[in-house]
Amino acid sequence: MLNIENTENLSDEELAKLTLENQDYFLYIIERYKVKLFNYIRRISNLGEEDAEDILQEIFFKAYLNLNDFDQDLKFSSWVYSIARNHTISSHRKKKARAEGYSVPLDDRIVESLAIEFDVRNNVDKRLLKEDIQKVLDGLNPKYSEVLELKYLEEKNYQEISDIIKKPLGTVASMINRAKKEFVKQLSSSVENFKP
Amino acid sequence: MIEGNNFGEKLLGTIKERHILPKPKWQFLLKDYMIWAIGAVALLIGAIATCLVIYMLDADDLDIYKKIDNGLSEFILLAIPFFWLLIFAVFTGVVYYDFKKTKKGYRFTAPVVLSAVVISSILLGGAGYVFGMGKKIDDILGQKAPFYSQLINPRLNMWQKPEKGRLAGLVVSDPGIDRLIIVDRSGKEWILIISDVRTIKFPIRKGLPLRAMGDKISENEFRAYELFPVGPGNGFYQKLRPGAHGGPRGMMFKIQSRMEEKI
Repeated sequence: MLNIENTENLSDEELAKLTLENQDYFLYIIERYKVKLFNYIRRISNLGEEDAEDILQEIFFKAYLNLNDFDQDLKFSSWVYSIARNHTISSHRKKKARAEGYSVPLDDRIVESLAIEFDVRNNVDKRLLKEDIQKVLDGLNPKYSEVLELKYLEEKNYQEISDIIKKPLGTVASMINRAKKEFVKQLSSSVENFKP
Repeated sequence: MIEGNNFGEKLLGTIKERHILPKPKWQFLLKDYMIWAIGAVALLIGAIATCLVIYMLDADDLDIYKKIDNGLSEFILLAIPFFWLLIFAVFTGVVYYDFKKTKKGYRFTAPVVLSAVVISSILLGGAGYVFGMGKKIDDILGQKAPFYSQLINPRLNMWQKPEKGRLAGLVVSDPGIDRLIIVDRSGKEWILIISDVRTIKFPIRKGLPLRAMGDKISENEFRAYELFPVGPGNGFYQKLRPGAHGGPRGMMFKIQSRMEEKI
């Protein structure tokens, strides 16, 4: 087994290159991405944990098989997220309204950053806000919720989002703009003391 | 939960057990090259179509078409090379779709890609036209392509209307002082009387296709008032032979003899 200390300082791109020489390195890629991708799969689909885990396994297989197709000009993260997105969509079509109980709970840190981004006043109950934000995200048009989730929940920048959803940068920027407006509009009707 | 279990180890174990290996790089390179090759071929076809559009529009004789009965609408239908425009549109679409399949094609918006394709086709097609490719390709298609006059160059049909004063064909005799013999597209021979043509702006010789406007005098005589060379469709007429489509044979010999006697 490889020495874990040696791999911690390696970038994803370096790990990907090394995996082609020694498949044991792939384990570290899996460990770095399994939780992130698992949550991402659950957010963009209506899958429970077991189904999401199956999809995740297929995604990692696909990534391993296509490792020689990874373009070093891209970030590895964008590449693997793109595979995850496409595979999840083709395996299970997204539904507008997610089934109850299948949502991935929002991190407090993310709720905080969303609150700042959308200027939600400090006296709003954060617990209620979390629920409202989740409800609004679940109810948004999938093309809007997708880009908002990538930006605020997965914390991807515009270029990364462009590389993941395979759309031009300008298109991504206007989609995020429209998504934010729609999000604010829907949030303002749910949250007291929220005035955009 | 995904964090706690040995998900990664199990997955790697399966990979090793089944001896799964990453697909070789050459497969991806081949796919990339194929995509680019298809795009290049489609762009080339689009450029050829552009070249032919320019050739056919440039060869348009506006003065001729103004004299034709049904005015602007018929002129537009005849003058615009719809076939080549359709080919151009289809292959522009193919190039666009193909480009979007390349590794970084998604980074460019549709207007940018389409503009680049159109501009490239115009530049390449224009260069081809300047070097005479338009005429060459049209001549070859005229000689070899089935349905040339139905699809590619339907304007030829309006020159097979002698009763309406329009006739085109291949000169099959040495031109006399006042007449010559042509074969029309049905293979029928015509005596073309040219004594009333005020100015002949191009040299007439045996083996040259031409167009005439005038009057039909009899079943095989046509008096021309104006003569024009054939632009697009030149190759189509070049393959004509007397009697090829059931027209009367042997007239050429009789008429030529009569012409020689007169001289």
